[in-house]
Amino acid sequence: MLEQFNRNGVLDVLESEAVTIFPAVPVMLDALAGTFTPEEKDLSGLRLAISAGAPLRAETFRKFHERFSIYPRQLYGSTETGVISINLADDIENRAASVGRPVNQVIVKVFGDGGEELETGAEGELAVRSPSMTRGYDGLPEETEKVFRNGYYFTGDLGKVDAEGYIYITGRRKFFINAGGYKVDPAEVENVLLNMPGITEAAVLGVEDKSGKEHVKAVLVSERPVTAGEVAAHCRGMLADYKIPLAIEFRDALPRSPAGKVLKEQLK
Amino acid sequence: MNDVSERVRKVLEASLPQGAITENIDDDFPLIELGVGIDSVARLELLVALEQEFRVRLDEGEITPEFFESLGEMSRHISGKLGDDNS
Repeated sequence: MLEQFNRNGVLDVLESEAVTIFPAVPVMLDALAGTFTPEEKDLSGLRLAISAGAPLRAETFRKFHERFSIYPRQLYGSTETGVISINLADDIENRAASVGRPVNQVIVKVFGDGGEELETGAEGELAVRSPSMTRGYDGLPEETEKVFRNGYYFTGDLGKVDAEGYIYITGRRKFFINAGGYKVDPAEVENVLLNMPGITEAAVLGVEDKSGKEHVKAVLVSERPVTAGEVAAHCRGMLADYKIPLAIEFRDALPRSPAGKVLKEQLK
Repeated sequence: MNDVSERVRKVLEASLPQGAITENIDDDFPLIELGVGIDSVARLELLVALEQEFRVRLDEGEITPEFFESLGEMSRHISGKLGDDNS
């Protein structure tokens, strides 16, 4: 067993043990497809490469197939429900963007802003009913009431279901940053930053790099000179490494609406 | 800057979020100022990009935290690898 993800270690095990099913997050698939090896790895034993935890980019889908002759297939799930769906389509090249059809005994419906169930193909919030789903969050009745309604878990994911039952996720209703498959709550990072001496205002948001991947960015207002390195040092030990802002920008003030809400769209 | 460090610099710049200020990066610039080396996913992606640029193996198990500290550290390590491969 590998104690942690190591590209060459994973490739060695997949080859030597002729592994048949390999679940991973997209960033792992992307890294494996790009890993330099003096000799090509033989992963012909692999029957199913599963991608979960974040959207699978078309480029990763293509690169992984080019390198290892197998297409990754998206799996959709959540802590609250367990596995929701998996894409086992025969015509996977045409359905790469789908997270597949619901697994056995799981029902997925799409609801509009007014709580009405939407027609096939219409985009709205995805809601799930599953025999393995939790009844709610322990000790958090308000949070539970918000997302567990009428026997369904409202995922916060926006999406649609086509006529063949394939689910497509198109966005997020909840404002989380998706940093390499890890969900980052901006409010948690902002609270840590605001505890740093000298920082008077903080806004945290997700920004995409040139390849379309999302990173954590912090925009700060400081009453004294502070360096990005000091900010990173402050965050270390208080936040998991994937939550620490990779881009840090200082401003004299944060843009706000007349109601005082920070206009994060103007900070990207 | 030599050829290796110039190529490392280009790979590094491409890996940074848009808007990052990169004109001050020389061999000794502390890359922690740009957040380099903090995030494990970004570290992994940078290693893959460097492997593709130089066609050398940069295994996570042998890379120390110092590797990510400066352009000079990265260039020295990669130059050593290129030397090993050519010897």
